[in-house]
Amino acid sequence: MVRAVNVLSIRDKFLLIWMCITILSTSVIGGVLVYYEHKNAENYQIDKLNLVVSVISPSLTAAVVFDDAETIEELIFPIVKTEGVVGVAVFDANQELISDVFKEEELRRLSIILPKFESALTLQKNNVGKLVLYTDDSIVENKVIFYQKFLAQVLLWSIIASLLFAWLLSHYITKPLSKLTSIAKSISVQSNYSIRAQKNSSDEIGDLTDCFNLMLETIELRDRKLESKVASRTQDLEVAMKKLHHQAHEDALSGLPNRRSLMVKLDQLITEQQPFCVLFIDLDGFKVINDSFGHYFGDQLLKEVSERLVASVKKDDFVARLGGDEFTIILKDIQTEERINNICHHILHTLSAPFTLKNEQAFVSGSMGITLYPHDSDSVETLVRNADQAMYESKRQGKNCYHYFTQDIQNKLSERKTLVDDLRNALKNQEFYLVYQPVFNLHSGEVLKAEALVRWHHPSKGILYPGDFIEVMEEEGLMDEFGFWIASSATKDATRWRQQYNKKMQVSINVSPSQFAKRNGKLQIWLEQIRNLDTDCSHIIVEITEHSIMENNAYVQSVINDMRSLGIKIAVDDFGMGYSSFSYLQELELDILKIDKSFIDNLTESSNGYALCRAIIRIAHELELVVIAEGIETEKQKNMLIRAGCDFGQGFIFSKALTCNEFEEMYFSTVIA
Amino acid sequence: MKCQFITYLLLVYVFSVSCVHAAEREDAIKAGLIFNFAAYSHGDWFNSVFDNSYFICSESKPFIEVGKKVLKHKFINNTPVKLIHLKSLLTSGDKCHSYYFAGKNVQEQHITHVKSINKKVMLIGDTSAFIEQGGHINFIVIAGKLRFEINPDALNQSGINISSKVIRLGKIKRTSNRG
Repeated sequence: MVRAVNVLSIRDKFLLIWMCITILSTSVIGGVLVYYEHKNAENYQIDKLNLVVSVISPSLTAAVVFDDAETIEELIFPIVKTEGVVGVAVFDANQELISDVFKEEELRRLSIILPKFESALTLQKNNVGKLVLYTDDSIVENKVIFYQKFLAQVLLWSIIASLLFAWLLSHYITKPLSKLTSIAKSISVQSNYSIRAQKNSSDEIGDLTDCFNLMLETIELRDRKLESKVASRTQDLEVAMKKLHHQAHEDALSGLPNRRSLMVKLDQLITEQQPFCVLFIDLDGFKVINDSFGHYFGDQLLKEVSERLVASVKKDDFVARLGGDEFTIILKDIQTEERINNICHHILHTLSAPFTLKNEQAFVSGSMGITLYPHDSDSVETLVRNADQAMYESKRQGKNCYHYFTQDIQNKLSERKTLVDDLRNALKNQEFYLVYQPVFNLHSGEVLKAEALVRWHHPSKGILYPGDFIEVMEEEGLMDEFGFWIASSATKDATRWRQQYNKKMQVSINVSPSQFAKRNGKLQIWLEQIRNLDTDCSHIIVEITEHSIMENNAYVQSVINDMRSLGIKIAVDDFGMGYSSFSYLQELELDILKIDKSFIDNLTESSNGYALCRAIIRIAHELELVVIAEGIETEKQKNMLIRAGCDFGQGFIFSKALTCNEFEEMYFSTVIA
Repeated sequence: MKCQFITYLLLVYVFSVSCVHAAEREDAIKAGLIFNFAAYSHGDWFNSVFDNSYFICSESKPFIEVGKKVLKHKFINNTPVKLIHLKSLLTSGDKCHSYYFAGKNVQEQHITHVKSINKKVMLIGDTSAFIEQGGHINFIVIAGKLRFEINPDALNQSGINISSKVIRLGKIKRTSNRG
């Protein structure tokens, strides 16, 4: 009920209240009036009967006194025609009926139960008889019915009149509110807070209008302030957006477009289907400069490089810095390959000029990869990747050059990727195993040393040698873990052999330069494991290359010292392939020098190879180093090396690399026996 | 014969007794009516202040006897009613307020005589020409019921104003040539 009333408008509520009041008041008044009229009718009937009686009584008394029945009848007969009287009876002083008249004969029989109105007939205070009027409620009923009808009509008309009046009144009262609502809606729709409501009265609605207008003024003022603030903030945001856009699309250091801009530009050019050329430039030797001179110097150099690159191409061309020392140039309107070559040469020439920074001179070069749209690809990602791969090809080909992207590069990369995937799986599936190549004492023919070599049992390609995958492993950063496996496995085998066969068999383990250079790598873990064995490790030989020694002398020295403290012997592998510096042989505490196979291959009586080999052996002996010759394949080489004083030798002439079981069978069975 | 005689005597007796009773009853009714005529009348023929009784006179002794019984303890305007027997019609009755002429042989001179003695007296009779002879109210029998004729003018002349209620009960009879 309350909910139903709540949904009504104020006007409807007003009408409802007004109508309720009207109906209630009219009903109450009507009820009171009906009641009053009922009583009034009863009194009227009594008065009327009194009147009739008072009129008729004297004559009737006389008639009774004179015993004139005819006159009595004549007198009482009209009475029954009176409204409310259904019968009349006259009794004498002895209560005997003299005469009676009834409207209907049936009423005579019911006279006992009918309401009576009695009046004594007296003459000079003497009772001479009695007049009895039998009555009904017809007077009251008729009057009440009349009033009920009358009041019903009055009620109906008053309700109609009230409704009309209430409608007019409510319209008059709620009209200002409706206007106010209409204005509020208009303001809401138009969002125009300058509109004001007109005040038409000084009553509560007038006050409400004032408050409404005041509120609008406040809102308008606040709106203006807000608009002003929004405008100010929008301006700030635009500035910030520009700044962000700038930061997002430009390299902060060089001011050149960044990688995102490059992608957008490439996408735009591809959409426009304009032929273009992408040059990917990576600075050679930048890392060394950065490390040597510091990052600030590196940053200044990069700025200088940026300026030179921009100056090397046309204004229409696009130069971007992708990050680090990587730059990309988009050459538009390229007609011939010769033109590209000329530009590339010019860039390389420009970069080769010395950079003077902080009164220091630095030199860098660039390795460039070139790819062409639409010749090589019509995809942004592919073009960038192509240029990158071509750049790596330039790096591989010796740096400071440029190289076009070809399908061959793509194929090589695919093969490399397959190989990398296979290597990762091989490490996981333990597809590698160790083989041992015996190292013979050239004088006694005894085998007391062996070099641990690795083989890969490839699921589809069969047995693969280290030359097939070690380089990739180094480049992919897998060497640390792989070297750890080799070292651990070889150590395990060597230790077992010593314990099982009680023969002092030294096992050489190759450690790559990357393993040596990596601080806190797995090489350290391996050393820690050996240290925990708490045994003499003189049966372990670690072979390091000249390159490892040259990389970081101080650190290498500390690692070598660590190893030597554990009893591990240190051998310099492939001596003669690289720098062949004798100074580090003097500086570092080494045990063995392994002459590279390339020296052995050149061993002939007439050549200088023999003299050189003999000199190396002599110097090594002077430095108290044991010398091992690698890759001895002929008897002649063997004899020459014996003559030159070489201590040990290994090669196919003696034995190829054997599996662990084969090695044990070959070189330890006699020991057991 | 003797039985027949006795029967005859008995019948005569019964008849005579019944006649006596009928006469008494008629007199009683007439006495009542005469009382009622007085009760419904006003005028200077009767002054309840000065008159200590209302006198109803008649020369008929049976009537007076019956009337005394009927009207015993009756009052008119708080004045007791008394019945007076007159020896003859010629007897003075100057105190009478109502005068009943009993019998059928009332002559006009009797009425005139009474009037000459007492002008203000209600004259009531029961002869057919009583009104014409100057009487005021005359008893008549209609359909076995005792009714009356009345001459309002004559009553007025005697200082008696009888109620119209009574007049409408009786039969009005006027004598235009008499006062």
